[in-house]
Amino acid sequence: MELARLYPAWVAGLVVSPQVSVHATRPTPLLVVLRGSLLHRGYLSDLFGTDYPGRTRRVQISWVLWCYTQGKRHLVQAAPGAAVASATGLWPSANWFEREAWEMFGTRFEGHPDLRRLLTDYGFVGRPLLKDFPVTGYTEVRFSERAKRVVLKPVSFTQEFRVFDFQSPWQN
Amino acid sequence: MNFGPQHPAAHGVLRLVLELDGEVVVRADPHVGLLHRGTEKLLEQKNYLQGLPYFDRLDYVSMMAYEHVYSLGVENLLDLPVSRTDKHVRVLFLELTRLLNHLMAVTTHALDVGALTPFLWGFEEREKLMEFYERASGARMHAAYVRPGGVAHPVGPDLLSDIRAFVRTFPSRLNEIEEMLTNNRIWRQRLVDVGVVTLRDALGWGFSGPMLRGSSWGWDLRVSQPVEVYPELDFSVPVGLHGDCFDRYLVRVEEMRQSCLLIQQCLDRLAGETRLGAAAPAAFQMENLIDHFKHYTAGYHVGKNLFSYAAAEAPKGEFGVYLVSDGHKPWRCRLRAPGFVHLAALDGMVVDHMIADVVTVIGTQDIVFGEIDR
Repeated sequence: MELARLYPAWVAGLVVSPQVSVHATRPTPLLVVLRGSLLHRGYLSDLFGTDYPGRTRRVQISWVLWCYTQGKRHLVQAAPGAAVASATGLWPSANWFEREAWEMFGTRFEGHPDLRRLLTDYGFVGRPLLKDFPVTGYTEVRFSERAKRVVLKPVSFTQEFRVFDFQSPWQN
Repeated sequence: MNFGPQHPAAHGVLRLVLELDGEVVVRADPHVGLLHRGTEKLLEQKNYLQGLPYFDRLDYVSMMAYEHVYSLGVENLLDLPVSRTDKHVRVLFLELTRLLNHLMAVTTHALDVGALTPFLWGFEEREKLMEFYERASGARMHAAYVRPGGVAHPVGPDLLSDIRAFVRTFPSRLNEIEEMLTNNRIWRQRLVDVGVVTLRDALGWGFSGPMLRGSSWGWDLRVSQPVEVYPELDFSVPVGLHGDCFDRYLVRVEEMRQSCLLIQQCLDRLAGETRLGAAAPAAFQMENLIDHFKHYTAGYHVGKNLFSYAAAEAPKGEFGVYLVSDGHKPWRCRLRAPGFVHLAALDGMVVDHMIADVVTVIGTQDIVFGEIDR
């Protein structure tokens, strides 16, 4: 509640229940402030991206913070177009979360010490959680008898990939 | 040096690149993702009910705890009520799941450190627990039992009485395991003062669950953010003092004892219920059957652009599910896995330890790759 009053330039919207959801136009200084108020009494519990292809900066980054003493959760979401910087200096736990968000969405976190791929295969190309990346991916691995090793091939299907869209007549 | 991915103490598919100075670890770089199946992506393709079984496959030793959080998330979106009986059945199975997980955690940890016997004994108990899973849901592991709005099937009174018989004898099984470990000289030499995590570090690394409670902070989402009927039940949250592997072991054992208490309380409260053995109404009326079929095939409609963040105390720590709705399917489903956060801190935990201690630390983190790699 005080956040919106104290930092009107950084906060675009705020909902208090069930968790404190902050829509932040300038998330980085806001996180610094929140860290100060949580210091030794809370932690960064999660950091992730969400893809909205229609927007100009399509990936929205969210931070989830816990405050122990109040038993309260803060969900800070970057407003469209807001710049995001690395939170590793504030919380070491941001390290892997940011690596994952970078790998899955291609969001660069300014000042991250070690932005390497994490969950995908060595040498993987693409941003798998973007909406325009197909579920099946572009390549598949297969053991090549000739090369005597596992090789990458473009995906091939005996049957086309089908999406069942149940727009049922029953929908109310 | 390469540790894993096929090393038995790597708990699945962890590849750990260790930089060593003699036998002392200078830097540990975990390479994860060998079990990455793109669960978050797959969930965007499925309707809400189809998405549920993926949660069993995240942490495949504490299946229902993960289904439960997802169900909570969907219930938040739909504002769906859950009956009191179903809440009790949920807590009952959540605590059985905690036993299932901690038995695995403690005994395979012992196995990694060199004690085979607790593993054999613990797995006999796990077998019984999985039988309860099977009798409730039809599946030993991947239950898909906790569903948005309640549970899949009612439980029968004979199952409840068998669970009661189990929790009556289980504490003495725990005593046996403790006799083998707690005062065992080798076990103590390998665990005491190994992998010490100060509270400050634990918070910075974002630890939760027994990893945080081992570092003397009694933070448990069952108490601080209670769901289901937890606030009405009587249990305590064990806390370690030194933040070393041994304290985390003790915390896990004590949590199992507390789970037994919780299970007993749920059983007592369920004893008076009459609805338990009743068959689902879909079996009797044509209209119900049609309604049931419709929801099963078409899925249900969950508004658009709503979001919810649900988190609960899974056996390994805080498991969170962030959902953005998009009609029949989630637009985005983010899974916050506790093991992912813990493993990220492995480097900090094993620096200046011997190679052998790396195994101890991996064991104490209770690593399961289903949830880390997602």
